[in-house]
Amino acid sequence: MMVKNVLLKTFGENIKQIIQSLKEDFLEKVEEIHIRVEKPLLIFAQNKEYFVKEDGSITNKLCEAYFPKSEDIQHTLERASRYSLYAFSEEVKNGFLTIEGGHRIGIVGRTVVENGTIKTIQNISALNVRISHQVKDCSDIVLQYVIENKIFYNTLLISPPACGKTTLLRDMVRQLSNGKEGFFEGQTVGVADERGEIAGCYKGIAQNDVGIRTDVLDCCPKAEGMLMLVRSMSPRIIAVDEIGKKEDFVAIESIVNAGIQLLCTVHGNDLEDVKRRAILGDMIKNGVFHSIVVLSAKKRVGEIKTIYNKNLEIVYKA
Amino acid sequence: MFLQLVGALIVMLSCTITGICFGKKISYRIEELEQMQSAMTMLQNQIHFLATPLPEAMEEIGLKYDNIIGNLFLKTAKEMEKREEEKGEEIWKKVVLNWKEKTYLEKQDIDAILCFGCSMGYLDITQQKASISLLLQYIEMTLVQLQEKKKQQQKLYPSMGILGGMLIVVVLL
Repeated sequence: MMVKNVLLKTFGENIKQIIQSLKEDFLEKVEEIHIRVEKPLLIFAQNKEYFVKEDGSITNKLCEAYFPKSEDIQHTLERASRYSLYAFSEEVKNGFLTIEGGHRIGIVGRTVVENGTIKTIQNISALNVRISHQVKDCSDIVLQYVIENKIFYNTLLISPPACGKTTLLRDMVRQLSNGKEGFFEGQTVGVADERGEIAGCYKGIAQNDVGIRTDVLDCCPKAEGMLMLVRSMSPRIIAVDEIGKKEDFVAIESIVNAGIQLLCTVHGNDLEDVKRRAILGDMIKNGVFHSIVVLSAKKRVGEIKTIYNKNLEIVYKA
Repeated sequence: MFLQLVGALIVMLSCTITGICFGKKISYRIEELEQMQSAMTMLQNQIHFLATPLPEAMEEIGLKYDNIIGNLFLKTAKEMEKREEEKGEEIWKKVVLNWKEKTYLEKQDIDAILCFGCSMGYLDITQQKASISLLLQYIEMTLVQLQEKKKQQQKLYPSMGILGGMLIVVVLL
């Protein structure tokens, strides 16, 4: 579904009118929309920040910007959740909800804590709508390094937030699943899509193109999801986004031991940063990952900074 | 004389049928409330066990019920997917008010159905379930009362129809 169509169905009436007035080509480049109560409406596109007026035009002056009200947030949440916020209560606990097309809405407000764990978020005061983009063939360079003798090996993508790691992961999944004539054959890929961002499933069906041999386990906790996929769908490759919990690494260990190749992402600034982490650092040092790709958004989103091989030698540098 | 007899017969017949129809109205209301009870129980289960979003749950239930209740659920699901209103409550109200003319339900039934919409889309799943429970309780209570009333009215209206017919015939003759 076109980004504009999804956004028009997501926002409350006031912001919907603003989005509707935005130029189509500008809208396609939008990365994030920040809505904060009584603070200016901000749009991020191509690494720049824009204020937006009530009539949908872009402005540099703060005083001219549209200042969303708390009803705008309420109405946006109602529409985005298809009037069923209860269905997203588990996601809301984690501070976000995923909408059609795999776009993610981040939420902050007053958290309600019960027995030391977050029960829900109330009085929601700000939203961050992160628009996921499908950039086909953006993984071409990476694939040249992670595939050896027509076989894909364990790969780790390291990237700070909002640098395009999920976009890269999605395209890698698509290409690995479809295969490329003369380069490598398509393989069965299992995706444990905990946040519904990779495939952007709607009623269980992937809305993003994730390839013809891809099985998606939607909204499933990663650790359990990875093991479930191994048991049920006999994948050759398993792809997961944002690993980090202890149980994720336990699952990864059994996957790697079973001879299934892993494609995963992790938040981090560079290799050194990730190497310092307890379990993941050891895995890197032990040579579990055949390739490690580091992303950055200094020049543009999704820029590939460095690619390391198994011995942590640089094989590609931007 | 023959024509008078035929006329009297027609008057008697139409009055009897009117009486029977009046008596049936309560049966239709009971039937509709029972269907609503069953559909709402299904919706409650969909929300409780599967946390299905309302448009999906309503569409699924609507397709299972090929009747006036299914019609309400399908129409709501369709309107919700359009996402033109700000609140779920507004959609429910709009659809129910358009739909009520086609039913045998009475004002108090419609009010209870509208009341379910008030908490539609709330974050808290327990609140969502509670509002369905409230509607189900109302339906249950009303059904008990209506069954009693039905027993009394079952003979009353047809008899009144026959007697009314007789009265007209006597007066006219």
